[in-house]
Amino acid sequence: MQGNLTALLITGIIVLGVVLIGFLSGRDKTNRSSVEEWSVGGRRFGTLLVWFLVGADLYTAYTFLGLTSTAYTGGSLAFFAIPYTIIAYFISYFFLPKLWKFSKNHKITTLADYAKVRFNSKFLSFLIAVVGVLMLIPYIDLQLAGIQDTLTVAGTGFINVKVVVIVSFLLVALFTFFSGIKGPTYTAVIKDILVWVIMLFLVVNLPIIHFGSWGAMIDKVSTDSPQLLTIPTSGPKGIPWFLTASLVSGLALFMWAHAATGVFTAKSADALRKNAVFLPLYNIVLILLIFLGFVAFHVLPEGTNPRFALLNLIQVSYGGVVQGLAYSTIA
Amino acid sequence: MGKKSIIVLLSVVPFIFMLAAIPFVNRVQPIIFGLPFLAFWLFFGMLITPLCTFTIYKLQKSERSAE
Repeated sequence: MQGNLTALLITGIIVLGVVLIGFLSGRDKTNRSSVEEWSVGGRRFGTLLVWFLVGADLYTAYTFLGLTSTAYTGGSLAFFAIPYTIIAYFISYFFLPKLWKFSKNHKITTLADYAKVRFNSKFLSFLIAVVGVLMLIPYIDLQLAGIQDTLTVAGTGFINVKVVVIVSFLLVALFTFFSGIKGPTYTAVIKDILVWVIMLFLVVNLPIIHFGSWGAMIDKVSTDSPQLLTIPTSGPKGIPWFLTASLVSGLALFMWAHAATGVFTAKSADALRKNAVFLPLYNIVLILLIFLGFVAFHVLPEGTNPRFALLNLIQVSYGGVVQGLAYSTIA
Repeated sequence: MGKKSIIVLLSVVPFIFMLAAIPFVNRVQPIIFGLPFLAFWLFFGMLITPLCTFTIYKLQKSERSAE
């Protein structure tokens, strides 16, 4: 499929703007005055900022592309993301404040250090550090794949996708290095706002374009492909899969180094408690996104690569300006 | 019923909603607010969970300040 130049340009401009803000937020020298200041913003972030930061850390390019493609191929199995994260946020209410208090008293900024001091075990600390890094590699790979997919759909025929991916990764790494946690936080705020606006727009607008209204879409999906709307009761991925995957992933969510970083930035245990109250609301976007996967199932020609489900759907439906805005959000 | 038992009760609710109930709500009909039933249930649970967390938060807060 040929790319779309307008979309590509808008994506490029917005992404560059965000990167610039990432650098600007680090102008203040105090950011680099100590490790604590650099990595966790001196633990001064309130409920709202922590919410934005954790949210942006967890809901990424892959979330948008992966969930819609899962919904596109696997139907309601994609819904597993909802109970999983809700359980994770709920239990976080109970243990994150404790983790935070101990970390503050001992000036700890990572989970591995926490294990070392709290349980007095170098082995456990080593294990957590290794697992954390190992798990981050496929995760970063996923993110880069997400960005690459975005650029492939928008930029085919215009740019060398691989080079751009590498450059953008270096830019993000640079501004994080330069600004500490503040760079990613400010960009997280912008990204989150973009995410909410664009996703809500897509969710309202796409069913209208393709089906006439939301209700008509649900009617069509439930008569033509009801198998999409429930969890399969047989086969390898049925209800037991759904339940165990949700529970185990939920228990483990905050073990992820990037999720935990947001936690250490909180200014008080109370901010984390409130954060646990509000985090589930992020999932509104997720549920709606899954429906976009169903839209894609009905609109896109058979044999479309599921990885590109959402991106192609946007390209087919809009092209141009909206496509650019949406892509920059995803990237 | 003491505050402790209310808190324990409330902490079980999200697990019931999000995990234990799933086999029983795994259906398309009835469609509520334009959402197939399974999606509606998850949506509902998503609103119930913060309410539970918030109530626990309030209960524990009054406990903390009373100490």
